[in-house]
Amino acid sequence: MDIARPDRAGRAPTRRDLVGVAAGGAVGTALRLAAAAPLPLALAGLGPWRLLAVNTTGSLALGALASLAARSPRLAVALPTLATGLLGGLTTFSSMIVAAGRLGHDLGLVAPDSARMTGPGLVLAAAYVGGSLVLGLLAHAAGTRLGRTTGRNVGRSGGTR
Amino acid sequence: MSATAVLAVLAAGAGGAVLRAVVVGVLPRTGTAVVNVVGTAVLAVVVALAGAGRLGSTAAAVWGLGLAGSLTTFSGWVARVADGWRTARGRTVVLEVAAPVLSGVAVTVLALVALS
Repeated sequence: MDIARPDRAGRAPTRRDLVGVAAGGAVGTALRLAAAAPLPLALAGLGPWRLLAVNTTGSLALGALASLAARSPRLAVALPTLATGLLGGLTTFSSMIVAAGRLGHDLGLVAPDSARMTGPGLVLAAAYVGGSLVLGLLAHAAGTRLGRTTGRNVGRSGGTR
Repeated sequence: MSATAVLAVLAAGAGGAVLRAVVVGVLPRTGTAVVNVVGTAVLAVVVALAGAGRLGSTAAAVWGLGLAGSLTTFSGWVARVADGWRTARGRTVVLEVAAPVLSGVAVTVLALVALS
Protein backbone atom coordinates (compact mmCIF):
# COMPACT_ATOMS: atom_id res chain seq x y z
CA MET A 1 0.00 0.00 0.00
CA ASP A 2 3.04 2.27 0.11
CA ILE A 3 2.72 3.37 -3.52
CA ALA A 4 -0.99 3.87 -3.41
CA ARG A 5 -0.96 5.88 -0.19
CA PRO A 6 2.42 7.52 0.36
CA ASP A 7 1.05 9.09 3.55
CA ARG A 8 0.38 5.61 4.93
CA ALA A 9 3.73 4.09 3.95
CA GLY A 10 4.64 1.18 6.20
CA ARG A 11 1.20 0.99 7.84
CA ALA A 12 -1.21 -1.89 7.46
CA PRO A 13 -4.22 -1.05 5.27
CA THR A 14 -7.48 -0.29 7.06
CA ARG A 15 -10.63 -2.38 6.62
CA ARG A 16 -12.10 0.39 4.49
CA ASP A 17 -8.97 0.37 2.32
CA LEU A 18 -9.32 -3.39 1.83
CA VAL A 19 -12.98 -3.14 0.80
CA GLY A 20 -11.96 -0.59 -1.84
CA VAL A 21 -9.03 -2.74 -2.93
CA ALA A 22 -11.33 -5.78 -3.32
CA ALA A 23 -13.83 -3.80 -5.41
CA GLY A 24 -11.07 -2.31 -7.54
CA GLY A 25 -9.38 -5.70 -7.90
CA ALA A 26 -12.59 -7.27 -9.20
CA VAL A 27 -13.07 -4.46 -11.73
CA GLY A 28 -9.41 -4.61 -12.80
CA THR A 29 -9.71 -8.37 -13.31
CA ALA A 30 -12.91 -7.86 -15.31
CA LEU A 31 -11.16 -5.29 -17.54
CA ARG A 32 -8.27 -7.70 -18.05
CA LEU A 33 -10.75 -10.42 -19.06
CA ALA A 34 -12.53 -7.98 -21.38
CA ALA A 35 -9.21 -7.07 -23.01
CA ALA A 36 -8.79 -10.75 -23.91
CA ALA A 37 -12.09 -10.89 -25.85
CA PRO A 38 -12.88 -12.35 -28.31
CA LEU A 39 -10.04 -14.77 -27.62
CA PRO A 40 -11.11 -17.86 -25.67
CA LEU A 41 -10.34 -17.62 -21.99
CA ALA A 42 -7.16 -19.61 -22.18
CA LEU A 43 -4.71 -19.64 -19.33
CA ALA A 44 -2.36 -17.11 -20.83
CA GLY A 45 -5.35 -14.80 -20.89
CA LEU A 46 -4.29 -11.97 -23.10
CA GLY A 47 -1.43 -13.20 -25.24
CA PRO A 48 1.88 -11.34 -25.17
CA TRP A 49 1.00 -8.24 -27.20
CA ARG A 50 -2.33 -7.41 -25.58
CA LEU A 51 -0.71 -8.05 -22.21
CA LEU A 52 2.06 -5.61 -23.11
CA ALA A 53 -0.55 -3.00 -24.10
CA VAL A 54 -2.55 -3.53 -20.89
CA ASN A 55 0.53 -3.39 -18.65
CA THR A 56 1.85 -0.26 -20.37
CA THR A 57 -1.53 1.48 -20.20
CA GLY A 58 -1.89 0.57 -16.53
CA SER A 59 1.55 2.02 -15.78
CA LEU A 60 0.64 5.27 -17.54
CA ALA A 61 -2.59 5.47 -15.58
CA LEU A 62 -0.85 4.77 -12.25
CA GLY A 63 1.73 7.50 -12.92
CA ALA A 64 -1.01 10.00 -13.72
CA LEU A 65 -3.18 8.95 -10.78
CA ALA A 66 -0.38 9.11 -8.22
CA SER A 67 0.71 12.59 -9.27
CA LEU A 68 -2.87 13.86 -9.47
CA ALA A 69 -3.57 12.46 -6.01
CA ALA A 70 -0.58 14.33 -4.61
CA ARG A 71 -2.55 17.52 -5.32
CA SER A 72 -6.01 16.27 -4.47
CA PRO A 73 -6.86 14.87 -1.01
CA ARG A 74 -10.21 13.64 -2.34
CA LEU A 75 -8.51 11.59 -5.02
CA ALA A 76 -5.93 10.36 -2.51
CA VAL A 77 -8.74 8.78 -0.49
CA ALA A 78 -9.73 6.74 -3.56
CA LEU A 79 -6.19 5.55 -4.28
CA PRO A 80 -6.50 2.13 -2.59
CA THR A 81 -9.47 1.37 -4.85
CA LEU A 82 -8.11 2.90 -8.05
CA ALA A 83 -4.38 2.27 -7.77
CA THR A 84 -3.87 -0.79 -5.57
CA GLY A 85 -7.15 -2.47 -6.56
CA LEU A 86 -8.11 -1.50 -10.10
CA LEU A 87 -4.73 -0.83 -11.75
CA GLY A 88 -2.95 -3.45 -9.65
CA GLY A 89 -5.59 -6.01 -10.65
CA LEU A 90 -5.60 -4.91 -14.29
CA THR A 91 -1.85 -5.21 -14.79
CA THR A 92 -0.04 -8.43 -14.04
CA PHE A 93 3.56 -9.51 -13.50
CA SER A 94 2.99 -13.27 -13.44
CA SER A 95 1.45 -13.43 -16.91
CA MET A 96 4.33 -11.34 -18.24
CA ILE A 97 6.87 -13.89 -17.02
CA VAL A 98 4.86 -16.84 -18.35
CA ALA A 99 4.13 -15.04 -21.65
CA ALA A 100 7.85 -14.30 -22.04
CA GLY A 101 8.64 -17.98 -21.63
CA ARG A 102 6.09 -18.95 -24.27
CA LEU A 103 6.96 -16.24 -26.80
CA GLY A 104 9.33 -18.51 -28.73
CA HIS A 105 6.54 -21.09 -29.07
CA ASP A 106 3.98 -18.42 -30.02
CA LEU A 107 6.19 -17.03 -32.79
CA GLY A 108 7.06 -20.48 -34.09
CA LEU A 109 10.78 -20.14 -33.28
CA VAL A 110 10.75 -22.98 -30.79
CA ALA A 111 9.16 -26.36 -31.50
CA PRO A 112 5.71 -26.51 -29.86
CA ASP A 113 6.55 -29.79 -28.14
CA SER A 114 9.87 -28.53 -26.79
CA ALA A 115 9.86 -28.11 -23.02
CA ARG A 116 13.36 -26.58 -23.02
CA MET A 117 13.91 -22.90 -23.65
CA THR A 118 16.62 -22.68 -26.31
CA GLY A 119 18.73 -19.74 -27.56
CA PRO A 120 16.13 -17.83 -29.60
CA GLY A 121 13.49 -18.46 -26.94
CA LEU A 122 15.76 -17.13 -24.19
CA VAL A 123 16.68 -14.01 -26.17
CA LEU A 124 13.03 -13.35 -26.96
CA ALA A 125 12.01 -13.86 -23.33
CA ALA A 126 14.68 -11.47 -22.06
CA ALA A 127 13.78 -8.92 -24.74
CA TYR A 128 10.09 -9.19 -23.87
CA VAL A 129 10.63 -8.67 -20.13
CA GLY A 130 13.20 -5.90 -20.70
CA GLY A 131 11.03 -4.22 -23.32
CA SER A 132 7.98 -4.44 -21.05
CA LEU A 133 9.89 -2.80 -18.19
CA VAL A 134 11.30 0.00 -20.39
CA LEU A 135 7.87 0.70 -21.93
CA GLY A 136 6.30 0.59 -18.47
CA LEU A 137 8.85 3.06 -17.09
CA LEU A 138 8.36 5.41 -20.06
CA ALA A 139 4.58 5.19 -19.67
CA HIS A 140 4.84 5.77 -15.91
CA ALA A 141 7.00 8.86 -16.50
CA ALA A 142 4.60 10.15 -19.17
CA GLY A 143 1.65 9.55 -16.86
CA THR A 144 3.38 11.34 -13.99
CA ARG A 145 4.06 14.35 -16.23
CA LEU A 146 0.49 14.30 -17.55
CA GLY A 147 -0.89 14.13 -14.01
CA ARG A 148 1.27 17.04 -12.84
CA THR A 149 0.24 19.20 -15.80
CA THR A 150 -3.42 18.33 -15.41
CA GLY A 151 -3.28 18.83 -11.65
CA ARG A 152 -1.68 22.27 -12.04
CA ASN A 153 -4.28 23.34 -14.60
CA VAL A 154 -7.19 22.07 -12.53
CA GLY A 155 -5.66 23.58 -9.39
CA ARG A 156 -5.39 26.98 -11.07
CA SER A 157 -9.06 26.85 -12.00
CA GLY A 158 -9.89 25.90 -8.38
CA GLY A 159 -11.51 22.58 -9.24
CA THR A 160 -9.17 20.13 -7.50
CA ARG A 161 -9.72 20.95 -3.87
CA MET B 1 -17.16 -19.89 -19.78
CA SER B 2 -20.28 -19.69 -17.64
CA ALA B 3 -21.40 -16.62 -15.72
CA THR B 4 -20.68 -18.43 -12.47
CA ALA B 5 -17.13 -19.15 -13.59
CA VAL B 6 -16.59 -15.50 -14.58
CA LEU B 7 -17.88 -14.40 -11.16
CA ALA B 8 -15.51 -16.86 -9.52
CA VAL B 9 -12.60 -15.40 -11.51
CA LEU B 10 -13.60 -11.86 -10.45
CA ALA B 11 -13.90 -12.94 -6.80
CA ALA B 12 -10.45 -14.51 -7.03
CA GLY B 13 -9.20 -11.25 -8.56
CA ALA B 14 -10.64 -9.31 -5.62
CA GLY B 15 -9.01 -11.76 -3.20
CA GLY B 16 -5.66 -11.50 -4.94
CA ALA B 17 -5.72 -7.71 -4.77
CA VAL B 18 -6.58 -7.77 -1.04
CA LEU B 19 -3.82 -10.28 -0.35
CA ARG B 20 -1.36 -8.06 -2.22
CA ALA B 21 -2.44 -4.98 -0.26
CA VAL B 22 -2.00 -6.82 3.04
CA VAL B 23 1.44 -8.21 2.14
CA VAL B 24 2.66 -4.83 0.86
CA GLY B 25 1.26 -3.19 4.01
CA VAL B 26 3.19 -5.63 6.21
CA LEU B 27 6.34 -5.63 4.03
CA PRO B 28 6.50 -2.16 2.48
CA ARG B 29 10.01 -2.56 1.05
CA THR B 30 9.84 -6.09 -0.29
CA GLY B 31 6.11 -6.83 -0.47
CA THR B 32 5.68 -6.09 -4.18
CA ALA B 33 8.57 -8.40 -5.08
CA VAL B 34 7.24 -11.10 -2.75
CA VAL B 35 3.71 -11.11 -4.19
CA ASN B 36 5.07 -11.00 -7.73
CA VAL B 37 7.28 -14.04 -7.19
CA VAL B 38 4.64 -15.99 -5.24
CA GLY B 39 1.94 -15.13 -7.80
CA THR B 40 4.21 -16.17 -10.66
CA ALA B 41 4.80 -19.49 -8.90
CA VAL B 42 1.04 -19.97 -8.53
CA LEU B 43 0.48 -19.24 -12.24
CA ALA B 44 3.33 -21.54 -13.25
CA VAL B 45 1.88 -24.39 -11.16
CA VAL B 46 -1.55 -23.76 -12.68
CA VAL B 47 -0.13 -23.72 -16.23
CA ALA B 48 1.80 -26.93 -15.57
CA LEU B 49 -1.16 -28.75 -14.00
CA ALA B 50 -3.57 -27.58 -16.72
CA GLY B 51 -1.07 -28.54 -19.43
CA ALA B 52 -0.84 -32.01 -17.92
CA GLY B 53 -4.62 -32.30 -17.83
CA ARG B 54 -4.72 -32.37 -14.03
CA LEU B 55 -6.67 -29.10 -13.61
CA GLY B 56 -9.92 -28.11 -15.32
CA SER B 57 -10.23 -24.93 -17.39
CA THR B 58 -12.51 -23.16 -14.89
CA ALA B 59 -10.27 -23.90 -11.91
CA ALA B 60 -7.26 -22.85 -13.97
CA ALA B 61 -8.93 -19.55 -14.89
CA VAL B 62 -9.91 -18.87 -11.25
CA TRP B 63 -6.43 -19.59 -9.87
CA GLY B 64 -4.40 -18.34 -12.83
CA LEU B 65 -6.29 -15.41 -14.35
CA GLY B 66 -8.08 -14.39 -11.16
CA LEU B 67 -5.87 -15.00 -8.14
CA ALA B 68 -2.35 -15.03 -9.62
CA GLY B 69 -3.17 -12.31 -12.15
CA SER B 70 -4.45 -9.95 -9.48
CA LEU B 71 -2.01 -10.93 -6.74
CA THR B 72 0.85 -9.81 -8.96
CA THR B 73 1.13 -6.31 -10.33
CA PHE B 74 3.08 -4.85 -13.21
CA SER B 75 2.15 -1.21 -12.65
CA GLY B 76 3.11 -1.36 -8.95
CA TRP B 77 6.40 -3.03 -9.87
CA VAL B 78 7.19 -0.33 -12.45
CA ALA B 79 6.32 2.40 -9.92
CA ARG B 80 8.73 0.88 -7.38
CA VAL B 81 11.50 0.65 -9.99
CA ALA B 82 10.88 4.26 -11.05
CA ASP B 83 10.95 5.46 -7.43
CA GLY B 84 14.06 3.45 -6.62
CA TRP B 85 15.88 4.55 -9.77
CA ARG B 86 15.83 8.15 -8.57
CA THR B 87 17.46 7.38 -5.22
CA ALA B 88 19.43 4.11 -5.29
CA ARG B 89 20.11 2.78 -8.78
CA GLY B 90 22.33 -0.16 -7.84
CA ARG B 91 19.96 -1.43 -5.17
CA THR B 92 17.00 -0.95 -7.50
CA VAL B 93 18.55 -2.94 -10.35
CA VAL B 94 19.39 -5.82 -7.99
CA LEU B 95 16.41 -5.91 -5.61
CA GLU B 96 13.56 -4.50 -7.68
CA VAL B 97 14.44 -5.73 -11.19
CA ALA B 98 16.84 -8.69 -11.18
CA ALA B 99 15.61 -10.45 -8.04
CA PRO B 100 11.88 -10.65 -8.86
CA VAL B 101 12.41 -11.38 -12.57
CA LEU B 102 15.04 -14.09 -12.03
CA SER B 103 13.08 -15.58 -9.12
CA GLY B 104 9.91 -15.54 -11.22
CA VAL B 105 11.66 -17.30 -14.09
CA ALA B 106 13.21 -19.82 -11.69
CA VAL B 107 9.92 -20.76 -10.03
CA THR B 108 8.23 -20.99 -13.43
CA VAL B 109 10.89 -23.36 -14.78
CA LEU B 110 10.82 -25.41 -11.57
CA ALA B 111 7.04 -25.75 -11.66
CA LEU B 112 6.97 -26.68 -15.34
CA VAL B 113 9.76 -29.23 -14.97
CA ALA B 114 8.38 -30.74 -11.74
CA LEU B 115 4.72 -30.93 -12.73
CA SER B 116 4.65 -31.38 -16.52
